[in-house]
Amino acid sequence: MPDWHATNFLPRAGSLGVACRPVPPAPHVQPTADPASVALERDRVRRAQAGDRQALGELLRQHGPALYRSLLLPRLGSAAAAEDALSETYTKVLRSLGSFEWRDEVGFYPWFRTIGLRVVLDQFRRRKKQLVWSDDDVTRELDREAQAHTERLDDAIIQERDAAVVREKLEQALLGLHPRYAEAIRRRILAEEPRESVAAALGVSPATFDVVLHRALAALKKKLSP
Amino acid sequence: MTRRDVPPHGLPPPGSSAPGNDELDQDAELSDEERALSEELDALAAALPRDTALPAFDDEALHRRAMARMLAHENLTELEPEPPADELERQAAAALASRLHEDEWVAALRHAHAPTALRELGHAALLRGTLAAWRPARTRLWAGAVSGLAAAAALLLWVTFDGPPAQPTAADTGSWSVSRSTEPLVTGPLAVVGTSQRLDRIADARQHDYRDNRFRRWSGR
Repeated sequence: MPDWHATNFLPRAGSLGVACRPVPPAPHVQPTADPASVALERDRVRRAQAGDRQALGELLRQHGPALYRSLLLPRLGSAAAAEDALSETYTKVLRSLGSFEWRDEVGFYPWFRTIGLRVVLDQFRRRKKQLVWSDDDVTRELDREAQAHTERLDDAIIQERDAAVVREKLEQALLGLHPRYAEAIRRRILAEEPRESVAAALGVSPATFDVVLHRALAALKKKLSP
Repeated sequence: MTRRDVPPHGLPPPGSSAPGNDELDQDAELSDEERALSEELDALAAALPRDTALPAFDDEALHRRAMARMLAHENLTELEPEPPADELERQAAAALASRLHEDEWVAALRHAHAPTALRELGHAALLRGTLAAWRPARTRLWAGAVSGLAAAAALLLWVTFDGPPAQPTAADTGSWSVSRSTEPLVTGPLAVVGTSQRLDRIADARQHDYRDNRFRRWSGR
């Protein structure tokens, strides 16, 4: 697992290969949260705890899609499962909102994210199927989350880091594969290049490329299996 | 091993489990120039971190050989030449290719690499449902108060309830009809033909006693 830092939260460069779809640049955000947005969010949380439905809707509308994209979907690997997990997260948030204690140095999103992680862990245990991410990975994330927060990070940084750790695990597994297999997966699966053009780039017929890709995916699955 | 047995590009023969070790054994039969190149490749492989992209080699064979050395340092064996596919594997590969976009594993890889955004409409519906089902703390307080009142009323009813009707006392039972046997009433042989009005009267009297006791028991009389 990479050693993350607040100002260096992306995986190391050079690991993605030339044929991979370009990774979007890191958002230009401050490492620590903006005081004005902290005050706004604190007000929303206070109103939501007092029963203001609109404030609660604003909170969930602000953080829900980000949680889905950065945490739930990369870990669960399926849009349907991630939407279910988001719904379950919302339900748990409503149930425990009264007991949430606001702290300026933590904010709302880390608490919301922890609930999301627990929902992911529950889903892994229920369905007993793990793809790229495993329940051990989630447990490690929860353990790290339990450590004391010394400085509040901007939510965008936390979200980018959450997405990057899964991508990094995939990249590490690809690096352990036969280069030809890794290239087949990068171009055909990750970059979604047409089958014929990838086959031509690898110097094989499309039918042979199917076999290469089949073997490549099997090898990757083996690499990623816990 | 003779020179003829050495596979092209220094790659291990198919089936070899440790390509790096076999390849190192071949160094004994290399020329001085090849040995020098081999040492350079070893140094390069040792120096390259695992996640550093390889420099672009003009010579494909050289590239593959450098890769073999580097992977040998990582104890990886995936560089073996691919064995030919049998019919079963070809069929499985073709099936995967035809349903690549529906494959769960492929979708998971794509989502891990570049997760897509949540659908706006789906999220709006989810939020509506969630918020509609929400009972804020204040509403829950009222619901709790009403439930508490209902529970108190139920407790009051339970405490003041007299319970089932009281059992008859000893004084009541003193006036009860006593069970009597019919044996002393039937001394002679019974008629085997026709009906006996006397026995009917005895049965009526006993039924009357029985009903009378039942009514007393129920405090109806």
